[in-house]
Amino acid sequence: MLQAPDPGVPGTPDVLAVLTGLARTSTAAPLGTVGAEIAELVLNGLPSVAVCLAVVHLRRVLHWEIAGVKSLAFVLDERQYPRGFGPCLDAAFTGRAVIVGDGGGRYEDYRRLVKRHGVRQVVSLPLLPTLAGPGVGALTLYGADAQPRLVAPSDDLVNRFAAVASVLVADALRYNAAVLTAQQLEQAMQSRSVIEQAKGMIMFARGCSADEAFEWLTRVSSTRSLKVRDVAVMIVQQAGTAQSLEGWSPRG
Amino acid sequence: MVASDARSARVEELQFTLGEGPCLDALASGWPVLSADLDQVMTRWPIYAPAAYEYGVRAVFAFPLQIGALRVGGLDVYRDRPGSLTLSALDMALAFAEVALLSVLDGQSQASPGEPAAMIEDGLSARSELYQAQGMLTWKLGIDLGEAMIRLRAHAFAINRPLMELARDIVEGKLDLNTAAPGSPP
Repeated sequence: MLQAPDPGVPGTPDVLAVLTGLARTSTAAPLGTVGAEIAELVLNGLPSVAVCLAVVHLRRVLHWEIAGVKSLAFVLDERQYPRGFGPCLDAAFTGRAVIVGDGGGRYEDYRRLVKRHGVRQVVSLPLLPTLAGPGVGALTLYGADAQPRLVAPSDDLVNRFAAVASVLVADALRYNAAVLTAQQLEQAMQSRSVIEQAKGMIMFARGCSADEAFEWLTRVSSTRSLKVRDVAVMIVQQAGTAQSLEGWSPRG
Repeated sequence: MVASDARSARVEELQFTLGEGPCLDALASGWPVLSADLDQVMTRWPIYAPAAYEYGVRAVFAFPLQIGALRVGGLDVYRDRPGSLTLSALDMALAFAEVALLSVLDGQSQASPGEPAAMIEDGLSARSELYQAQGMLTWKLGIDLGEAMIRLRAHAFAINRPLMELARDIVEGKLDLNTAAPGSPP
């Protein structure tokens, strides 16, 4: 069962502290780090027993973070459930808020499931960094009681949290995409230099031109079903020990 | 590599030939390298600094193009008189470095998987002869790639020629590797 916050801790949400915390969250970090930080801050600032942050891009879930829950069973259920449909991913993909509380309706199965873990209401808010653009995820709050309502989607405060979180997540997505591109560039450049180094070795060993060396490389690569780059790496690695390329002669 | 004029290109090439200089330091550290007076940093780059001075460089400012821990290049700014960059010039240089980084990443994001961006392609093609020469020398002398590059650099510096030209001569067979092993005195 999920536990309500320790009664010793003052229950009044310190909204300003959370907004300040969000403003200080660095988005130049892996999605997991940014997601965990946002979920933790929201958990501390809004009256919920758990907070889930889902990050989505192009209809794929890129990251999934649950804060405030020690129950592994709950995390597993919550993680598995949205594979079909669930409030969090529905909110993320449709861009509309989802509230699960009273019985009946589309989320009846889901409601029963989370009730077993002591969750009586769930509010999922879409993360929409721009009014017209696609959503980047959803922020879900879990409450231990059916009443009073955790938040209303029309609540100005909640919308402010969601708006700030949206921008942070969108920034983190952009940052991570740029890092990936830079990595790809680095790899592409590195693989290019290895191929040129191998070509130089072949040119020397076979006394041929650069074009002939590349042709030889591609023939070896196709007869051995290896990538050109992999053949190049192997040739470069054996340089200094092997004195000929005989072992590499392509068949035919 | 791209340069705004021929002299900058030669000074920039120098760093590549020598394997030392402010741009390489900026790339290694991830921090801008700001040398307002080249005369004062001769010992920091014992070969690069005097050579750049010869070309009339008196101050040099290098900015890494980086995102997170990844560095994709550098931007160098030269002055022909000693002196710091003004605050607004520094701002502008940082902004240019940012724009350069974004355009490189933008180009790369449109490249086919595993291939470098078309805009990088020209620079890589120019470098390909250098890597080929490195490979040839490695094979010929039974040394490792790193040593081959050091020997190429040393030889280019010793005969006072750009590294790329030396590499092209080796690749085109104009330089006999048996008689003029790069790395030995000319």
